[in-house]
Amino acid sequence: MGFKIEAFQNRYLAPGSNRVDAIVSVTSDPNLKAARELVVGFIVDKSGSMANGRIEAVHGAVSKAITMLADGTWFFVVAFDGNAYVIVRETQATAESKRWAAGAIHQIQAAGGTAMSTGLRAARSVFERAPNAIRQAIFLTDGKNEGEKPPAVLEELKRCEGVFECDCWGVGTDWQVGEVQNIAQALLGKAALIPSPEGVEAAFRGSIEKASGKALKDVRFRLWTPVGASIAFVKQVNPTIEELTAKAREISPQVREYLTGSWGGGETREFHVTIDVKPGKVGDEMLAARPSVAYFESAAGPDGGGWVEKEDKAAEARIFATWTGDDTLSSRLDHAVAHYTGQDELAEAIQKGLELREQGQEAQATQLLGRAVKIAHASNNVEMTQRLAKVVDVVDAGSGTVRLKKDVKKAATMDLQLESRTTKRVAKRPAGTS
Amino acid sequence: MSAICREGHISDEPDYCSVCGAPITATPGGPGPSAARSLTPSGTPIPIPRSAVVHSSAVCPSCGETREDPDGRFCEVCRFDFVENRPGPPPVARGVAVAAPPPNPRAAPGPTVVLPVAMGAPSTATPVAAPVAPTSVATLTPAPAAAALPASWELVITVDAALDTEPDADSPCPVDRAEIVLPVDRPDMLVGRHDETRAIHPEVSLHDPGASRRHAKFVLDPDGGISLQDLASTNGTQVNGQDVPPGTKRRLRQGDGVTLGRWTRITVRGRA
Repeated sequence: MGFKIEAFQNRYLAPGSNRVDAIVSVTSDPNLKAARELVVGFIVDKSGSMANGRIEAVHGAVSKAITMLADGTWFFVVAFDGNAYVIVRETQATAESKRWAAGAIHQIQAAGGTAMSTGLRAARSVFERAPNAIRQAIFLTDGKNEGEKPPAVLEELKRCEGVFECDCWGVGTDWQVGEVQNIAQALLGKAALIPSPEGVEAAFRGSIEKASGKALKDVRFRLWTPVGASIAFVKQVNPTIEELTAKAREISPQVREYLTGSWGGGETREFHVTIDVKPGKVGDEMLAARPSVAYFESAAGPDGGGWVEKEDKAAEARIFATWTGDDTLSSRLDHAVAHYTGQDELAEAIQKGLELREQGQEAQATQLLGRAVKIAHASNNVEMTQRLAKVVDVVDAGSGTVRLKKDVKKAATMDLQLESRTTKRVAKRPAGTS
Repeated sequence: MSAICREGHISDEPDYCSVCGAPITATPGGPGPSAARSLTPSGTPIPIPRSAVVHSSAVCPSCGETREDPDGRFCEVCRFDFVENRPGPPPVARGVAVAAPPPNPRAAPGPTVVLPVAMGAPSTATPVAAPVAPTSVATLTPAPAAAALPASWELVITVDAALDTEPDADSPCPVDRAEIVLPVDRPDMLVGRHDETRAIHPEVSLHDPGASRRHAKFVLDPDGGISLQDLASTNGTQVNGQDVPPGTKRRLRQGDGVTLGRWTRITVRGRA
């Protein structure tokens, strides 16, 4: 069994209601062994703005990251400005190849514009040659994507989806959160901020360690729904909020699946699923959805073995609808559903609040950020409360009373914007509430 | 593994219908190997005729049912697809009866045809529908194997109000319905409720809410005898008051009374 799947919901609906909400928690087996083949691609911005210390920091960080790769791991380095350049073509890590690669990396000179799609395209063409490996890219930029029109990146991202996964790092504060976040979201990675060039190395280490632990590939969250029901939305709500509804792939008229990328052992993700079913009468009971997880497992074999497709289901993961005339049953909100609905609202309030503050609409921004502080406080989301406190002065967290700060560091705003989609895991639920 | 939900869908899942999500309450749990064996009176091995000995490849891997037509693609009972090696497709509206009841997960390989426990007097019995009390079974001796068989068979279908032990005001037992006599003129005759949408057209069509759409069938045996096969019906079938385990076949004799549904009695009669 690769996955443990559990659903949390209030299955009781009032007569005539048809909306079923549930949180599905998916945890991979902690004893899974990492896959045999890993390809790590570095996509590095070498535009003119990377001069003055930044490109040198990247030289050091990428070389250092390569030394962290286990022997036998494949890696390559692509640099881009307005065009893309393969600096190190795909190479299997050995002491010698790492030394050789470090030399090549130090030759990268900062010059030219920024056209991110060229770097993605070059990386994709390399990754496509390794269809059976875990494919992880690390994308590094410090600037706005000024060398091309935005659709160019979006079109290239469409082609990259499902080919490789990508973590994105922004160096400094001159880059656009939205642009980099788009890449990370499309390619199932995270986007984060490295405030100073010295922080690059630590940032890469996390990405490499995560990629090295991946054991399962192309993990798909699958939903069966009965005839007549429809999926209102599907969202990953933990560890980060990712809207999945539009990414559905139809397997059969009743089964849809959502790509979640590759997973390591012992990883947990949670999904908020909302299904509209045909309304029932009091006493009716039906299965509203059957979540499962489909994935490729690396098969043991003399020559690597390849990948075997599997699907895990669990009785605990079934999502039900039961109609009852008892309001005390049907009006209860499930603990997990309530928690993640709150975390979603928190993310929304932060994004909207920061946007409005940027536009100078201080009253509304204060109100929204105050609401965010209140939710973060109530859900015990300490990390988010601390991040918010860098942007607003908290007068009373419990009631959400805040004042906008006058001098806010740009990095703090960017950090808050990037991390707003990271959620706090639901606390252990009180007994007997699922 | 398939089951049928209360809406009549064939479900790939045993718990909730894989079509509509309705709970599957009466999973037709067929008897296990031990129950199948109990058809044989304790300690009395019953000789199995050569024709009934079935090679394992001629048995449905899903429900254990004997394959009557080795070239047929689908299992007669559970609609398992022998070509694709998977449970059968949902029913489609066509001129042939295709929908089927769920499988009977009998694990016991080998012969599925069990000789009937001989009951009643030898074949001179008059065609009367009186069931033989089950208590008398043990004391009776098996019938001679070469009992004279009639030239052909007929089925007498009657409404027996005495069978309707749980009367329902909404669908009262139709006491005034005339007796129907059908000749057994086909190698097998389906017994059940007619259903246009599922394209189920039984040869023996019953107006009985307690009967399944594909409830049972009468099968002419190669030696000229007649057998009844339950098709894993929801409410079961009895022969002379004894339950026929879901999905199993039972040889019939002249005068045997088959009861099913809420009030249906079918008496088997020989025609000279």
